[in-house]
Amino acid sequence: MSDDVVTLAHGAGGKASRRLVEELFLVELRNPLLEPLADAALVSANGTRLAFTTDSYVVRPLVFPGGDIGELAVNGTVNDLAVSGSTPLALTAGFVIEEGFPMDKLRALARSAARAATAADVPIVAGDTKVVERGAADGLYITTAGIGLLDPRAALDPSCVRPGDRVLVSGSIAEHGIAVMIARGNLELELDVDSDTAPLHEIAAALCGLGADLRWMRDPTRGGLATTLNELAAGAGMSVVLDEVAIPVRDNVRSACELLGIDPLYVANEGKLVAVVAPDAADAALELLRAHPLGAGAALIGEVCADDLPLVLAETPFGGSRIVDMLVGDPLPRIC
Amino acid sequence: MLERLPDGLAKVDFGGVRRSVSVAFTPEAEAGDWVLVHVGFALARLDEDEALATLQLLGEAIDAELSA
Amino acid sequence: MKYVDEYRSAQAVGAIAAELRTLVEPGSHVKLMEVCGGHTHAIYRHGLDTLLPDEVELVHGPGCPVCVIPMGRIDDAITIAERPEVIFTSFGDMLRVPGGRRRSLLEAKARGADVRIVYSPLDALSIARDNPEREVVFFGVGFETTAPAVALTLLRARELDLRNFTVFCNHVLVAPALRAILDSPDTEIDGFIGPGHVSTVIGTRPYEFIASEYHRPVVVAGFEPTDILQAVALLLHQLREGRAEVENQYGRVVRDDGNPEALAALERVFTVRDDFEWRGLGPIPHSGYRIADAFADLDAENRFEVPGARIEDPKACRCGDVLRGMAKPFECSVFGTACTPEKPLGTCMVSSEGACAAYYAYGRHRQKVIA
Repeated sequence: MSDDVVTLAHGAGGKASRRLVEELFLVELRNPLLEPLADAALVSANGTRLAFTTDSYVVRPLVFPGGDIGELAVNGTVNDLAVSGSTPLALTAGFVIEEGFPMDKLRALARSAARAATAADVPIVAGDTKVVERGAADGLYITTAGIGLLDPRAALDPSCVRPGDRVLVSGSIAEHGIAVMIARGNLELELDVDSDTAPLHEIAAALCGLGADLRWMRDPTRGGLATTLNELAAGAGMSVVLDEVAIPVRDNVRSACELLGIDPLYVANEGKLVAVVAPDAADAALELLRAHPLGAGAALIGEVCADDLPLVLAETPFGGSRIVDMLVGDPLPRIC
Repeated sequence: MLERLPDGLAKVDFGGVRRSVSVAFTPEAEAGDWVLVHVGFALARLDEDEALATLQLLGEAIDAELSA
Repeated sequence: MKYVDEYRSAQAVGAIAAELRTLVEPGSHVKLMEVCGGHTHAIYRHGLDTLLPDEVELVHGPGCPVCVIPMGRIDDAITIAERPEVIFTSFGDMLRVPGGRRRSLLEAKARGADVRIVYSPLDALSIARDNPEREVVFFGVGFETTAPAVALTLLRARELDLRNFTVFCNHVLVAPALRAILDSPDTEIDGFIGPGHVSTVIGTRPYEFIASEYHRPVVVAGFEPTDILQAVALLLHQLREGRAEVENQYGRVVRDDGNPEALAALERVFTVRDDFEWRGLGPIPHSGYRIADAFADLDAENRFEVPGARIEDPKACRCGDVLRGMAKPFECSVFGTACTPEKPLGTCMVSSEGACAAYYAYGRHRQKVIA
């Protein structure tokens, strides 16, 4: 790795993040359970299969339209468990708090986390708190870890994906990232968009009912749908061809993205999942998703194709197609 | 453009997103007009007659193609 | 959005594409250049180049003001940004551009420099007002589309008597660059798609020399797929009829005389430099703005010392050829290998509007298919 210091690009969820994990952490921590680099690791104990995952939350600002860091920290880990095909059993939460942080704000965020945990039917069973000097933690960082019980019906892996499989998304994209960007206040844009943060355990479990017809699921967080689909293409060794027009984006989110020169495909989501299903199961999968409030906007967005150079391609309404590459650094606005 | 604001600014709606922009370069623009905005400045007022003329040409092209 | 969707209609696009096929002689070769990053981006994003008849070749000129900033000037910007008292504000696109030692503003930020992305120069002004004890510098980059906004910001800074705000001015002019390309001995451009948004400011008159002195047609175009294809149609009509005129396809926002208030602001606040270096093209006379003497105290180059070094592009870099339309991105030996959007060697890969970056994102798999 030629980078000699860590930059913000390494945290954006795209190519640089991937390099940091693969060329530093994987090299140092190497073990067979880590290598698949899935959202959750699968651990076996006496014949019981568990999913185990962790995530850190450093969102700025701490409170944004539609949610806050407490809710995000719970939902994020619940979702990593859900898309690995497991029922969340328990969470832990570690809080790194900056000296001077107002107690009533902390209480409100803890309450949010508690509410989110209740909504996801999962208890927070253990935790830790640390306080650091003023200036060292940006207010509050939360790390959550979670274990889940693997659904026996689920056999999820990129290697299960076949050419012709369909790609679905559970609803409209880019809302969380845009809500947070606007809440930061630097861009002076006003729009009504809420973060979509939500627990996906119910819709994920519903999809597990499809058995082997459900090949793979993931929640497209940092780096957006584009990054997640690139991981799919790389993992499956096949191309993903998207129908650009079919990808659901709310009008005002699309406008905000156009204004900022950002592609919605690269903007984070916190309450959506992507699923790959067998072609014959696509209609059933959409029905299952749409039957739930969190999946009401579910759509069929693409198809998997055999290819010797696995890429994500988006077909435009005019018959052209473009490569949807992995995110390179932070999405930056364009100027002309 | 939604409304004029003090200090040479105006509130503009971009398909559901609102922001205040400078109208120093489009003093003739009024609420209800469409403007081209670049880095926080309205650069031009959309001329509806011209816009319709261009759309007209597009329409003719479509008709020509359909009847070909 | 109204006035956007109608111009994107697939049906209209298909119709014009069909019309284009009737406007070329089979076996002929027409080379059209566009000089606007927004056009490059739009063409690739919508795959418009695949809709053109084989006889028509589209090349991408120096339409990306981010891309043409010389590496030495980036180093100067980084030098300013690294000063502890400075808050360095910039459009987002500039952050990844590497300077002479492959360092960029983004890296400087990672090492502790206070570098902030702003959407508008007015936001930089607000930061200056909110932080009176710090020095706020705005990285002025862009063609005549952006320069008036910066001019007005400087006028406002003067009105407010702000002592802690300066601009590092790297604004460039489009017309002199076009002349430089036409003067280049191996240029074979038959016609130009004129930049859309620059023209809302400068109008269509500055392009008249292209028609009168160099006998090439120019059509100023909008950014929707139908606009661009319509402009190509108008150019092909002119070529068929042996005409060389400046036409305006983007009449809904471009007036022939441009925007008088914006032009006045430019006149007041900026002076044209004798020459300015364009990365990939070398020095071009009268192609850059500097801040006028009356506003010298708001000029970052007067307030801060900068190295001011001239740094050559790596030998393997063929950006100059790509910018003049003499080479395609994939014809450069380092395209996609040593030179990628993540680690750009030359200007054309640097911003998403650069020809190579656009091609890398949108076109390279097609090249694989053709090969």
